[in-house]
Amino acid sequence: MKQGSLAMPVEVKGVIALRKALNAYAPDLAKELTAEITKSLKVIQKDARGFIPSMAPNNLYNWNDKAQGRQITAKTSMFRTFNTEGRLRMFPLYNAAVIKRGIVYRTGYGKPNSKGFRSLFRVRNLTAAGAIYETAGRKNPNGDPRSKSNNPRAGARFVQQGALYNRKNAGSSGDMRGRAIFRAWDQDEGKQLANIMQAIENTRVKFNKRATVSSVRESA
Amino acid sequence: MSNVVIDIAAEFTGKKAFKQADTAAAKLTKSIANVAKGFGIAFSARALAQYSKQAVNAFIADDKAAKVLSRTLNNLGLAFADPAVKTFIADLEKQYGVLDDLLRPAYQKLITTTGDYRKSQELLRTALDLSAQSGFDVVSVTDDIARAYAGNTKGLQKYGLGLSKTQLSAMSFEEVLLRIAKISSGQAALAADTYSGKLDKLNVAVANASETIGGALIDAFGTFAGNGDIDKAIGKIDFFSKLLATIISPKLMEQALSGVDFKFGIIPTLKTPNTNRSASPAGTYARNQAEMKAAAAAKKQQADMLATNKKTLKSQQDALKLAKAKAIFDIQKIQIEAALKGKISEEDRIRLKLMQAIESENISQIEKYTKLLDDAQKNTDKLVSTLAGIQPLDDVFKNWNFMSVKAQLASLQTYFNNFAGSAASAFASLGAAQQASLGGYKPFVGAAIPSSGGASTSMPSTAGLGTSGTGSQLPTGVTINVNTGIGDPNAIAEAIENVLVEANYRGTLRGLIAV
Repeated sequence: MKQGSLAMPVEVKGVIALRKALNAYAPDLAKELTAEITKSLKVIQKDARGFIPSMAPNNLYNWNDKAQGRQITAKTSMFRTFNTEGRLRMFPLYNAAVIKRGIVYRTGYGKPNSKGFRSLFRVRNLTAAGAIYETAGRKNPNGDPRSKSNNPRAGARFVQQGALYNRKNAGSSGDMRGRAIFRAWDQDEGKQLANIMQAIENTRVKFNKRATVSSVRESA
Repeated sequence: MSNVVIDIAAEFTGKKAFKQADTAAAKLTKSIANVAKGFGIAFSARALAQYSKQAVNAFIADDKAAKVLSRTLNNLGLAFADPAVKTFIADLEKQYGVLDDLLRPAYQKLITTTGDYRKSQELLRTALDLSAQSGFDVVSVTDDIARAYAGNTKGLQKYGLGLSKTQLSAMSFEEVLLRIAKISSGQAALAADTYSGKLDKLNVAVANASETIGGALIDAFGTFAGNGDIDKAIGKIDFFSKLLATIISPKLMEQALSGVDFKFGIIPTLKTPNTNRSASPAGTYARNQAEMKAAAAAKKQQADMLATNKKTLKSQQDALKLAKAKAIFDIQKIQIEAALKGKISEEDRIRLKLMQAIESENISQIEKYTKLLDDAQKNTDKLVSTLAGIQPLDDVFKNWNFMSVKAQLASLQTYFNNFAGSAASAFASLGAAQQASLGGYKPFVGAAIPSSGGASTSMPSTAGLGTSGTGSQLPTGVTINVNTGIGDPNAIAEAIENVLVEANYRGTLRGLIAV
């Protein structure tokens, strides 16, 4: 197994084959491995959820999903739209509980991406509001003077309220800066990744030992 | 849609679509390369030389296989069918993309077994369908079908026809064929219509072209060599092919192929395949006669086969009968029969009958008696369980208080003692006048109570007793014997009771017991 630097994502080989083999021939080890991976991913998930403030950051008026008692505007209306062309969609409002629920992890491997890579384990920030909070200010940390938005300095305001963590260029994965999951990952400093890799290695050793003839003789 | 995600680890597996595209492209390249090679386009001299060798070898092998089949047909009296068979195989080859290298041996197996060239053609088509459906090659499928035709259906089991071994054995060949047709009909045509099938067709075309070119090369080189020695000519093919390469140009090739009808391989349209048919009516008559003769031979072959099968079946039945006859003298069976005639329980009878059925291998009887035995055992179990549930009767005498005979007698003795003593003392205490008023009766005066011993005792002696106060008023020699018997407390008690009752009636035991 090739383990790269702590820059994300780590490219490994043989994990999918190993997990398929485990599922087929040693389901108990497969369960054990999944449990170990889950343990590590939960740490990241929990930390990331902890970085979600209960209310929208200051100076970001009317973003909170609490329109009750407030004047109905284009932004607070239930009929608000993300755009007026193409697919209509309500602009996502900030709701900490929803955003926290949307921070999820996955222990199983996925489908190949356009470059032929399959992610083995991942943590996602699913909700649209969560994604805004996570990434706002990446592109224009000082605001965009050419923006036609009502709030052209939104990026700067976000950056003022909360810095972006992690590194901008992390190999092929592009910009890896963020305020929730990327921050949690950055602060973890690769400990969970090491744990996961160690768990995989341990399982591989156990599986190989079980599969060899000598181990059968020992157990007999 | 937002896609904020940390891929903690990833593995490069490549894309399925990429892989498929790569494979398809590789296949296509290979096919096109083969076609290109086959038609001599963009040939180098070396490639042409190599191809020429392959083409010549392919032609030789194909020619040999064709001649073997022709010889077989001739031997079976089916020489007239040779052109029809060739056309049939060539058409099949093109239609289904299966090489004649496979079709010829397959057909040969069938024609050898059936002796009927039309029937063999039908069977070969069925075999192609079954081959496409099952994935087995057509030669082995044909082999199995030919065996099934001869009555051995064992080989058909692997094709998953949904029939058990017994069913296959019991079914006629026609029924088996119907089943095969039901399962695999149209599979060969369908397979030929797929991408893979089309490539196969392309390969067949290339192989045929190769064989045709090889034949042409041999003919040409034979003529070119002058002496007709083909073996030597093959050795010189390199030289010839290089020469050929220099004279072939794309333009010349186009001109050469313009007059080719690809329906029957590379055969110029002006040259029709030899159908081996005579133009004369006499030739037609001879062919018809040969066909009729061959059909009769095939019919006879089939009849012989059926007769053989029937004979085999009869011999098997005879063997069974013989075994039954032998069973008459079987000691085991005799013993069972003897046991059955004895006085036995119903369950034992069923057991013996079952043993008898097992000995004679009579399945229906075995099943019948096994069931009966099972029922009998169940009934026995039920009875045992019922009996186990019955509680024993309580001892009706357990609360009865029996005095032992000895104790009863001792009690009697005490009573008499006391009675005698008290009566005598009471009489003695009376005054003389009072005693006289009793009429001179002096009870028990001078009487002696003997000690009792054993189970038998005597009443007090009457010596000294009298009716007039002399102590002799009771008859002498009165003895009461109580016969108790031995052991039975009821009898003892009853005897004692009887004695006491009688004594009571006599008036001597009044007040002793309540009767």
